[in-house]
Amino acid sequence: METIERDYSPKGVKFYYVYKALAHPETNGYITPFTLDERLMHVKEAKRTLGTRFNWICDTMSNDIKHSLGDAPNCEFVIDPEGKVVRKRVWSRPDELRKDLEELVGPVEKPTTVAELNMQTPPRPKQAAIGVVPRIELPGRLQAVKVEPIIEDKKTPFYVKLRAEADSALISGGEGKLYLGFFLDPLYHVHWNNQAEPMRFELTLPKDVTASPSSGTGPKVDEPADSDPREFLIDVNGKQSRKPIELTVHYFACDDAETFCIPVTQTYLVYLESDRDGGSRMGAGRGGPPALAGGPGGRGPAGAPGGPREMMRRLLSFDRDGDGKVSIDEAPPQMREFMFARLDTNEDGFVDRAEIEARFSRPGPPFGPPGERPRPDQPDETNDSTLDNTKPADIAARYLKYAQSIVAKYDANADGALSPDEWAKMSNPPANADTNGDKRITVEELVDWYVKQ
Amino acid sequence: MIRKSIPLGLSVCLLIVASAWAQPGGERGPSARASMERRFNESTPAIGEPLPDVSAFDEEGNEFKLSSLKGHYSVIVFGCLT
Repeated sequence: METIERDYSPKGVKFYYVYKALAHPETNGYITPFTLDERLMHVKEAKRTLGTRFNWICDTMSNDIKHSLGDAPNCEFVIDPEGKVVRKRVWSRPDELRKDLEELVGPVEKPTTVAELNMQTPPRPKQAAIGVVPRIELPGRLQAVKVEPIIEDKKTPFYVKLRAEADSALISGGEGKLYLGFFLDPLYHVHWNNQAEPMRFELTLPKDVTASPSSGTGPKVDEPADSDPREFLIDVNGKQSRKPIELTVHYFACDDAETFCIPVTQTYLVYLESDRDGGSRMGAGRGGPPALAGGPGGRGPAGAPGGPREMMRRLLSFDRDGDGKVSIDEAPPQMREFMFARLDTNEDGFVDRAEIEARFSRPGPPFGPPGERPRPDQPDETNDSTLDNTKPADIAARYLKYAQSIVAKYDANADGALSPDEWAKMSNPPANADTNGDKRITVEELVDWYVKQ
Repeated sequence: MIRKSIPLGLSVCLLIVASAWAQPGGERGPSARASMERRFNESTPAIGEPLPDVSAFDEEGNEFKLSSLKGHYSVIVFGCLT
């Protein structure tokens, strides 16, 4: 599409992308904005990440353009100089669009190639760990329901945003399951501070509506910070009422730059009716929620939660010191236990981008929990069948390698062990590994600590 | 390669949609696609008709009218971050 813009802008053609309601919230971490300002922030983010030269039209909060032009997620139109539609397509097709413009405007002598664009995808900002809090099992396919944030204080954005979904039984019959997901908005670069009180919410129910539970508290999490959504599933019976449920949520908003960490209380009205512009979260409701890897959500579409690109992004997000690779101390427990050895194919004790991409570019499931092996007729090309996550000797051997790499990485004075000031620089300082209390963590102590974890 | 030939966000949209259609036993399929195309064709201006007189915003938040797209050829592509 960008090559077409390069070729036809000089001929006077104007190119516009239309930003509209998100078709698949949560994909790549983006969630539905609540205000026009946030939509405009999304436009800037889209321009940044796409590296596009297109102009952008930002749809209204009531989605007027989307509704008046077909409600399709990726359609395209060509408009002539009189303002009339001369081509339209329900799905954008750059190859067809180029032919259209060749007919309407004229051919290009030397079409721009993609390589000539030299487009770069900018790195995503670093964020707190993800994949730390398990996603909840969903009862099946759910639909977005209308959520109205009560904006009382324009200076305090909704750092955490509610997404509510319901099953068809609740929407049509008034009795069923209500999903409440509280998602950090990446626009604000905040995280859950797990050293503060967990988030909590309570429902104020209309007369004749019951809900169980009618309040909830986020889980206690060992990681000091993370970015995972806090999710709840509520049984609701509201057959006699069309009035909204009032939801109040309390949380600490803490920015990644650690410049503020403030208590926030915000309120929503949740309507038990389908939201036609709510989009759908990919992977949710198809056998379970999106999973980090090998979970019930399975391997979804490329950019979707559970999909290869999303999983790669998630795995690389654990690289907290920004050295381009994930070390064992940066990996969360489930990655350490089930994935690390399979990803670390060059056995250097680190998982880098090339290893992750190699694992996800091959067909078939990328990982599985212990005991979940490829069938005999599906040999695993990486030959990791020699690894057995269940044998203590194998576990110790694997962690010996990792402990050696960690000590080598952080052992600034090269004395073969970690001192307190050295292990303090680790993402998860293993102070408890110093079992003999001599203020030194040896490779052997680190191995024991990893195994016990 | 698709990542370079189509902007990332839009390629995500396309991959997601293509995958949804490919779901065996899923809700979507050829009939769903045909249904969406039919609905799209019925609910959008016919070839030769003007765009609806709808307002939205430019990148800076200023009012932008679709009807202002005159005087040159314009290409409008619906996209999204997700």
